[in-house]
Amino acid sequence: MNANVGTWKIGTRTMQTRSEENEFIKPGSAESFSKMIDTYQNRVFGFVRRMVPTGEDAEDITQEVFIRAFQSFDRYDARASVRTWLFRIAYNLCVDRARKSNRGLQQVSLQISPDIEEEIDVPDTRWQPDALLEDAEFRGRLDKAIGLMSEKLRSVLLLHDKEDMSYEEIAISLSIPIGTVKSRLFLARTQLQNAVKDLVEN
Amino acid sequence: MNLFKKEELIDESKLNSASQMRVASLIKSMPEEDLSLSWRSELNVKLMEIQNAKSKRKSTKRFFAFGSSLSAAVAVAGYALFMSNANSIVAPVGKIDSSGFAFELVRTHQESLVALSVSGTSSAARESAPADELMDGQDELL
Repeated sequence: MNANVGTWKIGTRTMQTRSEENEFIKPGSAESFSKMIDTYQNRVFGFVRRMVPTGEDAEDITQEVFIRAFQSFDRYDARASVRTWLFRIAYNLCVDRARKSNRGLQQVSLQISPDIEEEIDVPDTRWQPDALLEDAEFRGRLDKAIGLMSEKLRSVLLLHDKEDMSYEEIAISLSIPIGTVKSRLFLARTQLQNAVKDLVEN
Repeated sequence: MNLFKKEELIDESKLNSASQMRVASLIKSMPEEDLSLSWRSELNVKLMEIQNAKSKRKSTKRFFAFGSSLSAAVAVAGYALFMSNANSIVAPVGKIDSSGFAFELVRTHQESLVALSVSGTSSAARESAPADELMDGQDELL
C-alpha cells in the first residue's frame, strides 16, 4: 500500500489516502476547521443518528464531536486520518450517552447459526436497494432492524457499509482487532438480512 | 465457545458473498440526513465562545506573567534605589567639594562612624550626646 498514491484497495472498496483526505487540514487554522465541519458534519450526523434513539440527541452529540475536535485541534497530528479521528470521537460519545441512559453496550453473541453457514449464495434480483428503499414499509423495517441491533454490530455496519471505512480504520476508530471488525460486520449484515428477508421475498 | 477464535474464522470470501453484498448495497443506498443551517450557526456560536474563553485565559496568563515581571522589576529598582540611598548616607563625599569645610566635616563623621562600628558601640547614642550637651548649655543660658 502506497500512501502517496491517490487511491488504494482494501477488500472490495476503494479508499482515499490519508494525505488526500487531510489535504485541507492545517492544525490550528480556523478556516481549515470550518472546511472540515462542512465536509464531515452530515456524515457524522448520519452515523450518530443511527446510533442514538432520538434526532435531538444525535444533533447534540454531533455538535459535541466538533467541539471536542476543536478543543484538541491545535494538537491534531495531520498525518492521522481526520475521518478516523472524528468517528472515534463520535463513537465514544455515543457509548457514553448509552451508558448514561443505563442501556450500556449490549453483549454480542458471535455464534453463527448453521443456517447462515449453509446458505446457498445465489444472486437475487429482488434485492434492488433503490426500489426497496422507496417503499415506506421497507424503510421502516430496515430502520427498526438497525435500531434493534447491538451498538457493537451497528457501529461496524454503518462505518463500513455506509461510510466506506476500511477494516483498519474501523479497528482504529473502535479500538478493536481487525478480526473482530470482520466478524461483527458479517453478523450485522446477516442479522439485517434476516430482518427484512420476508418483505423482499414477498 | 472461544469468541476470538470464531471471529478469526470470518474470511474475506464470506464477507464478499452475494447475500452479504446485498445488505451492504442496501445500507449504502440509505438516504443521507442533512443538518440544518441553524444547527451550524449554533455550533459556530459555541466554537466562538470556546475560542474567546481560550483567548481570555491566554491574555489573563499573559497579564499575570507581565504583572509578576513588572513587580519583580519594581522590586529590583526599589532595592537598587534603597541601596544607593543607603550608600549616599554613608558616602556623600562625591557630592561635596573635597577642599572645603563641609568635606572635612563629613569625612570626620564617616571616620567616627567606622570607628564606632568597629568597636560595636551604637552610633545613635553617640550622635545624640552632643545634642544633649547643647541642650544643657541652652538651659544654662536660659
